[in-house]
Amino acid sequence: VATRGLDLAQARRREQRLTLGLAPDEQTENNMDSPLRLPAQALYRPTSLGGLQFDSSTELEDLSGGFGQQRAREAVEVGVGVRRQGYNLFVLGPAGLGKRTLVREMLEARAAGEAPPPDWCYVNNFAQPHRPRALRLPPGRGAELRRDMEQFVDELRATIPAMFESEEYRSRAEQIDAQVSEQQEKIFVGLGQESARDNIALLHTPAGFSLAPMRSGEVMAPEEYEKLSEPERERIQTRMGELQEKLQKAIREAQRLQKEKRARIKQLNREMTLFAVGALTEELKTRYGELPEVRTYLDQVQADVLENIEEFRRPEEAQTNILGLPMGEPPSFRRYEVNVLVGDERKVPGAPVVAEEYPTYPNLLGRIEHVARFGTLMTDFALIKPGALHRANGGYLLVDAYKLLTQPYAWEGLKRALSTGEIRTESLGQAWGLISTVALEPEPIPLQSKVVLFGERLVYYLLLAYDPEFGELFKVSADFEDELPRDAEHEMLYARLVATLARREQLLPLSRDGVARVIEQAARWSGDAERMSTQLEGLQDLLREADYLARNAGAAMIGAAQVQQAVDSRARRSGRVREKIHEAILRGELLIETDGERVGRVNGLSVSFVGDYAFGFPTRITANARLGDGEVMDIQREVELGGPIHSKGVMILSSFLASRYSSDRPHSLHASLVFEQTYGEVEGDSASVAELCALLSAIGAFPLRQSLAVTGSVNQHGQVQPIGGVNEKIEGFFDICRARGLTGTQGVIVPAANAKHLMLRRDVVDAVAEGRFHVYAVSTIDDALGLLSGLPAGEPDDEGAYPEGSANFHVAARLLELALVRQAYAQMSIKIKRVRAGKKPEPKPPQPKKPDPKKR
Amino acid sequence: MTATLPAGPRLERVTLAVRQPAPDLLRAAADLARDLQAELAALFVEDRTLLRVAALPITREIGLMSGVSRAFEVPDLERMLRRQAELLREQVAAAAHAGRLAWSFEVRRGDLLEQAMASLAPERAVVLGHRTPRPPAAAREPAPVTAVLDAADAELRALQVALRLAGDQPLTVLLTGAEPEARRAQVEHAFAGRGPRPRIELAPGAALPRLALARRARIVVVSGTILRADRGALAALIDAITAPLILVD
Repeated sequence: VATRGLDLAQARRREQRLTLGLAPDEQTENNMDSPLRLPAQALYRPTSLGGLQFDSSTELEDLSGGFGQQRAREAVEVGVGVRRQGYNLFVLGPAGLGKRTLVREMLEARAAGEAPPPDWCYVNNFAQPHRPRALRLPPGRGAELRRDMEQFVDELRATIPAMFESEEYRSRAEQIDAQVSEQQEKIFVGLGQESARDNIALLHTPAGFSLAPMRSGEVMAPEEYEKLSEPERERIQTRMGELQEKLQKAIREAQRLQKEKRARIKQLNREMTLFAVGALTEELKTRYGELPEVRTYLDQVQADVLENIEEFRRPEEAQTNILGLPMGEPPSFRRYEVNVLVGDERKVPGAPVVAEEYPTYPNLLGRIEHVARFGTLMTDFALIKPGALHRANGGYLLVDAYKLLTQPYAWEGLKRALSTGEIRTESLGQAWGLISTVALEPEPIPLQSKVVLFGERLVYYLLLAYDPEFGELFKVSADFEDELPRDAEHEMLYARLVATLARREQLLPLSRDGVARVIEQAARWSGDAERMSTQLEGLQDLLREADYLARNAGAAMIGAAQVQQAVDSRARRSGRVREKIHEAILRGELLIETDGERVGRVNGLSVSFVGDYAFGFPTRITANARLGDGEVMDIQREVELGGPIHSKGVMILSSFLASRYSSDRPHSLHASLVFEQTYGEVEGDSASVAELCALLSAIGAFPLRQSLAVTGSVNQHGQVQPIGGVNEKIEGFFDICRARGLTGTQGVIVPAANAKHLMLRRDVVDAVAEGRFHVYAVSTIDDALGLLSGLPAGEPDDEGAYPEGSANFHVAARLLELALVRQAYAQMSIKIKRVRAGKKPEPKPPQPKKPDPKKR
Repeated sequence: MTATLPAGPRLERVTLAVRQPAPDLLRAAADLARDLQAELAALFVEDRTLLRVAALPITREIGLMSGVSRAFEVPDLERMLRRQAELLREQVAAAAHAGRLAWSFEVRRGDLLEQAMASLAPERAVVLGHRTPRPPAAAREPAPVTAVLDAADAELRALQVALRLAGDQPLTVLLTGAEPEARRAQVEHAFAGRGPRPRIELAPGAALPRLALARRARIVVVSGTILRADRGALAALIDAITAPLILVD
């Protein structure tokens, strides 16, 4: 059994054609009479100018609320309208649909009518300074409180020192001092007089007091003392002992008096200060009378001032100095500051709508900054900085989901804030227990924000599948349509959208045919003649570029010509890779034939994406077949260059082969398939029709036309199914053929289901109209096989036999042949084994009859 | 007293006489010496009476702050005095260096007042402090400089010293001695057009009671002649006041 060569295949086909009564040399290569050939009109659906009742886009009204996104709009309304926990919003859809613009417009319109949120301030917690207190104030009053507290401190710094220098204070302090001093002196003077009566002196020493015997008013000299009689010395010593005890009591009493004096002075200071502080505090409390939290805070401030009067009396002395250098502001006065976290920067009335473009953990939840002072990091409540959640509190926060998920801990932080309903600002190290230094634990701030996430559908569904909290926290999804039906109503809406964008961007107006061409391009973007893409980004770019071209041409309006130029220009700009591939084909480096016939070889079609630019090009697919055990080997998969969907396609065609041709006998085939000259992964099943045709050609040994390229997927029953990128694929093969010269025999076979997707380039459509290129729409593998082989595919008769000479006949015959050969080999093998084992050969089985390919 | 004050007092030396280091007294003495471009002299007096007390076999010392009774021996006292003298010398050197002053340091054994008065001479001032340790007092409130004048030759110099020390702060002048009323007019005249007017009080013939009033002063300046004749008054004054006492002769 040998692989049949081209000559043999051609000879057999000629023979079969003769059998069928066809002329042996007739080449039906152009298939001009094929019912599968699509007319030029089916390749492009122009916009009906009759439906566009205007001459210039200036006549059209603005389109507000996005282009046909009613479902998404309703979802947004529900998401922001339901004021319950978890009713946050995930807006999903591909990038460039204008999701953010539309949602932001809706939110801003709604927020403008909502009450502005309260201000939030952090103030010192005098009882626990590491746990700053959060104060809620009516809008605008946070900054007012900050100013009031600055003024409060300034006034105290001026008032308190002046008060302590007043005559009133001085006289009262002197009075206390004098009273205590007199009492102290009285104690010591009395003791001194008592001791003096016994001729004992009370003397001051460097560290205290001492008692010594006297004679004649002078301290007794040691020699004199020694001369005293023993009883006299004992009397003196006894008396000195008694006096010493009294002296110790006197010292304790003096110390008690001193302590009492300090307390009285402190009380005096409090009284005097309270007079000044109390008046100021009362004034502020009156001003913030309706805010009990602020009143409580002011009481705490007053108490703290009274406890730290000295800092106001001599602030320069309270200032820390190291090596003679002042260490910044006296820290004591910082604690009376008010850190207005939210409220300072608010300029637009209504609820805030905040977009966070860099959603890191601290940018969302706020951060606690530190300042370095002589190598030590210091922080306090004044260094707490707000995050986007603070700024959006009481309003709406817009965040890109992908950016959020790629920032460490940001997603976890946001979820925690939403689930607990409060914003807890802490450093990441603190939150995760990574640092053990003393840090602030600011009082959490209640969160009343709607969070709107924007992302691709994949992100949404992954979160929904793998994060159990996601569904609870983002109960509403707004799914943006990426394409809409291309009917008269939507075409008109699209025209208004074009007009709106042109006005917003201050572009030249578009003429009617210009708008029509834009609508056609929108259909092309969607890859469907009956639908339009809702992509705004690409549309805006197209209009800007067309405007540029029109202005350069001195046109007053953007017409169809400028739109087409812009489309072509974009294709050229992005077409470097496409040109390289086409060049490689034309130079013979990538082996693609566009004429002639080959067995087991077919032109498949691929689509590549470079950024947002897609282009098609042909790829050679080849197949080999030989005796085997039913396996169809996908070489791409064997070398791990085939994706799972591609492998699935190969398995389907393998199943198709077995079920159609070998359902009642061993499928004795080993076939291999490969995409020639591909060095990257091949994915998708859009080549399965081409692969099956190559395989059938290899099995049946009939050649396939290389002037055709084929795309489409096939199911187990041989039905051809639609694929993506059909326009790009057709244009890719057309470009190669045109470069080599259109012969009138070239064309592309596409699934019939893709016919409605065709929005081909004008040059392709023109070539088809002139009969120089063809597009065929097929529904079954037999359709494709017939076009490619030039043979009738052949329908099975009642017994399942194919007409002789048909493509299917060749395949079936070949597979039967292989089955019989395999059976013969199996019997021979058994016989050899018996002989080797010393047994007699079994009786000769009846010889198989010559295969009758008419019977299955 | 003349009707007008001369440009500045002529003092050659300011002597600090103390029994123990006293930073406030030293500061006052150094400031005065710097203002007057005078030499700063320090006199550390080892109290003779105290040494005698320590030599007695039965005496003990009771701590001022602790109230604890402990042995009181001469070697211990001398060692402590030496240490205090060295400490004072260092402080004086530092103050003189800071004020770019000529300075000297001397240790004598005897009575503080005797030694202080011995150092007092025309065109010299002596800064004295309380002789005995006291329980810690509250920080002094701003108070005036008080000058006690007695119509002697040194009166003018004492007044000028007080004026320099007061600067912009209040100044109280106590006039003792003869003809206080007449001298009051002269003092007022002398201060005409010189900023804040001093508060002038008359204390004729009753020096000590009036002087006792000065105990709330920031600095007390006394013309030395008052006290030359009455050592008891000087001792009483020093014991009474907490502020530095500056004797001007």
